[in-house]
Amino acid sequence: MNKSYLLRLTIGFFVLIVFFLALTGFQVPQGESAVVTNFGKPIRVINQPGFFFKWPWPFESVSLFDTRLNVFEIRISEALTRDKRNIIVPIFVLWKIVDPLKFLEALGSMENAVNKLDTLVGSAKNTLLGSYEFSQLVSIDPAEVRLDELEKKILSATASQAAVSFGIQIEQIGIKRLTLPEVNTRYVFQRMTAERAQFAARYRAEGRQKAAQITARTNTEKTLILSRANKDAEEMRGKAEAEAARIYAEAHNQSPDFYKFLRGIEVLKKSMNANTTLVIDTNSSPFDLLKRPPVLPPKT
Amino acid sequence: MFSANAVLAALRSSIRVLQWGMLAIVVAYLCSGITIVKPNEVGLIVRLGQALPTVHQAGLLFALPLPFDKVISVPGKSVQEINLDDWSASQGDMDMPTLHPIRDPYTLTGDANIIRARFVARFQVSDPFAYAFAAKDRESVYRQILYNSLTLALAQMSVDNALTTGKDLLAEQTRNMAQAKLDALGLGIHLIAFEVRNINPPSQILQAFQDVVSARVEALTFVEHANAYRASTIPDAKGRAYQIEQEAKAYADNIKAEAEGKADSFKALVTQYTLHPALLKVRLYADMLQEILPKIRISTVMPMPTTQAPIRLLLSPAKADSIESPSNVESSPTQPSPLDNDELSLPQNSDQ
Repeated sequence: MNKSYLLRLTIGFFVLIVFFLALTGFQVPQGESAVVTNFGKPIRVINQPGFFFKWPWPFESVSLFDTRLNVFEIRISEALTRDKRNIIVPIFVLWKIVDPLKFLEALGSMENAVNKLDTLVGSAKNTLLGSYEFSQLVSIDPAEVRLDELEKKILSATASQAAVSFGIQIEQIGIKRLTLPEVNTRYVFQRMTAERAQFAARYRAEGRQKAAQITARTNTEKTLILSRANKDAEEMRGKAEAEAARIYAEAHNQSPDFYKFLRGIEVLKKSMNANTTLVIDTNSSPFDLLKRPPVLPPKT
Repeated sequence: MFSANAVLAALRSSIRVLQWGMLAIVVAYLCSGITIVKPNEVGLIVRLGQALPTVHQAGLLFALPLPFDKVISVPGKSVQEINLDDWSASQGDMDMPTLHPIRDPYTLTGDANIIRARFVARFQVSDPFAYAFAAKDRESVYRQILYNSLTLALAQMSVDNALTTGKDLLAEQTRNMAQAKLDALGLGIHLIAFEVRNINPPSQILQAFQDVVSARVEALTFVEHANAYRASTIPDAKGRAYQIEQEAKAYADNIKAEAEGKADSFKALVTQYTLHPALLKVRLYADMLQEILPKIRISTVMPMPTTQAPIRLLLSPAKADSIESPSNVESSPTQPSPLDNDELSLPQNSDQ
């Protein structure tokens, strides 16, 4: 009986403690901050996680603020570069609450914060874009591109105001894309198409030129090879003819008279043909035989 | 009707059951904090809102029940993937001649050309605390930073580079830049890889880009044809050159041999000639006549005593119909030929 009474007493005590803690204690989770208000008036800011006490409601109440990194994209708007070219630069902002009290007083809610930041960063972006040439935003020369600098300038133009007025720290501002107004894309496409056509024409022309060079070189080499061969052949023939002449000369020299006679005979042999008509006196040998047949000596 | 005792007994036993039930609930509550950490995860305990500094590896994790402890699992070992498909998905009509800056997201290259692309990034948690507590919507923060790095990298790259050889450079630059930014923000992740899934010109002008590709192929084809021509022509020419030289050599050898042969035969004749000059000459002369006379027409003029008209003798190899031809008759123009019937034709009978 006594034992069960003690048990009941313990349980009752426990319940009481839990009830008390539920009313007066509160947790600040990791990644959040708390502002304790007394009838709406902020009296304490807790910037670290843990378990804390306060007076029960309605005397004190707690507002929690997420102090982790937030991201939002500002509204897309067209801007002009210094050289008066339209460009759309979507930008995102990475920010977090660093001063919950100021944040609570100045903005109160996240939607409000996003709206304020949108205006602040958006106007800074448009103003700063106006001081950059288009070629400083995109260029094939990496040394000319100043997007990094633009991001930093927007950041430094807005960071202090966000910190002082809203208790917000802007951690980073980033350019998400580089885009053109819709109508401009048509011209970009035309330009790109023209550029491509030019490239295509150039490749074809280069190919043809290269081919022509190879063909021409080939023909030159061919001619060279053949002419060298012909020259060598001529030389060979010439030498052979000279040699032949020498051989003939050496032989004929043994008897020039006889050679002359022999040549004469040869010429005659070769030049006489069916079309030749020869008129010969019968006094000449051997036709004289026709006229004066050999006579046998008379028999005795 | 139940008796009062029976009711009391029933009540007592049900209270006992209730007591056991209560005890079971309390025990279950006390054990509710025990969590299993999966093999690819690590566990963090948040006690009364504050993260404890120990990182618990896979296995059983003894934590206190709920209002006191909260267990947060972080995928500490697995590789996570972020697909960056915004720049490829076109919600608008693909046949539209323009691109809308919001509906069809894209970015500009260094030479102010438009490209569409898809990328994928892979990362691993390097600091579980930072991963768990640094950002509110961590994946969208990662995305923004990756797109930002891509935009900056592409803004200094020509479209040709980005579409062809520069892809790896683009991925490398983006990875490095994004990692630096993630580190600066203390987000506790490590980018393992960044890949360009595909990168294309917009569909509106794809045709023009494809034409450049085919132009390249065509250019190569021209060169290939020229090379083929070269490959066949030069050997042909060399072959022809060889032939020319061989012919010349053959000719040279031939005339030399002929000369030698003729010289030798001449020398042989000369030997004969020195022995009997007159005889040889007569013989050669007679041989010659024998050889040529059958081939030719011969008119022989017989000188007569002045009172007599000359008799013409025609030796001819010609065919019968040409016998009477006037040219034969006129062949002796100096002498008149009053007697046509005096002509005597001796037809050629053989070729020997």
